[in-house]
Amino acid sequence: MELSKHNILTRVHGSERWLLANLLSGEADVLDPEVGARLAKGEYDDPTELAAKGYLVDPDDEWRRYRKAYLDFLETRNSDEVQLFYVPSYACNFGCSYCFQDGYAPPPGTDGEAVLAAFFAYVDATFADRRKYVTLFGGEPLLPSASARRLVDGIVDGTARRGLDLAVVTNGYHLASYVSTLQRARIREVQVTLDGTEELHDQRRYLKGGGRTFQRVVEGVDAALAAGFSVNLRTVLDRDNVESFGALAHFAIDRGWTRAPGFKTQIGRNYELHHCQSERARLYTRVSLFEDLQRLVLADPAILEFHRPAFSISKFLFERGELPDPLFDACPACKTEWAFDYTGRIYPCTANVGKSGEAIGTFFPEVKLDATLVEPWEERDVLAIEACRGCAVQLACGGGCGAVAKNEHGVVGAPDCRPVKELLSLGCSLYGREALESE
Amino acid sequence: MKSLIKKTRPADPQPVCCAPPPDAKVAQCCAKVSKTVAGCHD
Repeated sequence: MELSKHNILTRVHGSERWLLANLLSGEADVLDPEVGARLAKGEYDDPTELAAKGYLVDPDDEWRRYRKAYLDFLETRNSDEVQLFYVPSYACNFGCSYCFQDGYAPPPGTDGEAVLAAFFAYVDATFADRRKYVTLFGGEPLLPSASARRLVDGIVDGTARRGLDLAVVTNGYHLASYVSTLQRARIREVQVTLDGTEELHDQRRYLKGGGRTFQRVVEGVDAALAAGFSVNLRTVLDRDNVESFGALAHFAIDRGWTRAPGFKTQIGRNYELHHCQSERARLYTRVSLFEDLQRLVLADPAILEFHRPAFSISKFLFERGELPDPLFDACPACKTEWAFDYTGRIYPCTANVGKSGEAIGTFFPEVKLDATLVEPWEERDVLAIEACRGCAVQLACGGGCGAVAKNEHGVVGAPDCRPVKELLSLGCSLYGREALESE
Repeated sequence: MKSLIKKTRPADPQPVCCAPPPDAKVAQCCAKVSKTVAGCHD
């Protein structure tokens, strides 16, 4: 018997106690200081309890359980819903200070309606036996021009005719004027971004050429919620706006958004995806962002009514009283996610849609998928990535993002490591206080 | 050692060929509820 390769042991932030978790056995425990400190050195007194919980294992038996869990993961994913992004244009009316698409120089479009028809024909033929939904993406898809409205009409009607859900990712500026159009669709959710209260949001997310946007976006969210849509409010955080996160939370609470049945939130970390940002000092690492979020929540717990940060698997563990299934692959590209744009090109995911050199095929004017480009994405998981194989947190991290890994290492089959232990340490101190304080 | 687990997993999992329907609680990089985001890569 030996200690499991999948034990995640971390000292809880601000405490002498330790957290021990194992995603393969599904167990998680709080350890007393001396027990945790000894275990960190590979020492223990009570092998029976450790073995009963899968922290101490027969390596051959653990390998069999790992393999079984991997097969279960593949089977689940093979029957999972596929998300199909469609980009009708990369044009945008915003000039956000951190845009990751601002360096794109997309070619002019051809016949937008013919390309859209080809997209639906491709979906019908290629994903006939898969559960699926379409997400309208950009650029900004909800622009006021007649041509933009024609394309949105086409996507709304095309998805509705097929009984497919439609999600929309928009900056929200023209959302209110599109609500009646979107009501013809089966709207899964509308994602809108607000980066803070009015002053800060308008400093970061302004119209091209200048101009405030906050009030129009808020009106868009109001209209979407009034129409019964699910609204996923995203906030992109860095050091410039993090301190206003609490004020944004209170704004949303006071406006009644958090009581709306379909309202939810997410945080996006501002980071360098494809190119360097001019103001790098404002960017967070994952750990430093969550350190600051934890500090803000402790000072103002009402923030949790607006958003409950995940802290890796912490939120899941403490809200549900169980661990998530092992994550053998965090990257959905070319498995449960594909992206298509108005030029007729196919891309692995939203992180690289429209980026020069990242297309993996075309659906217009001819259907052609380059298997040699698709395979590295399809094959990417923690077993395929050599650096992940010996990592204790591999089943929580899942190897991270393939697009980021490719940017960093030049190949998709490389790791984009997540600071699982550090986030779990912070999350346990925030969500697990009851367990830490009890005997 | 204080357990944080409130639910128990099936003790005797069936073979893959006749496994029960998955309950889809995989911890995706972006949770299901926010799967439409452009931030899946982070």
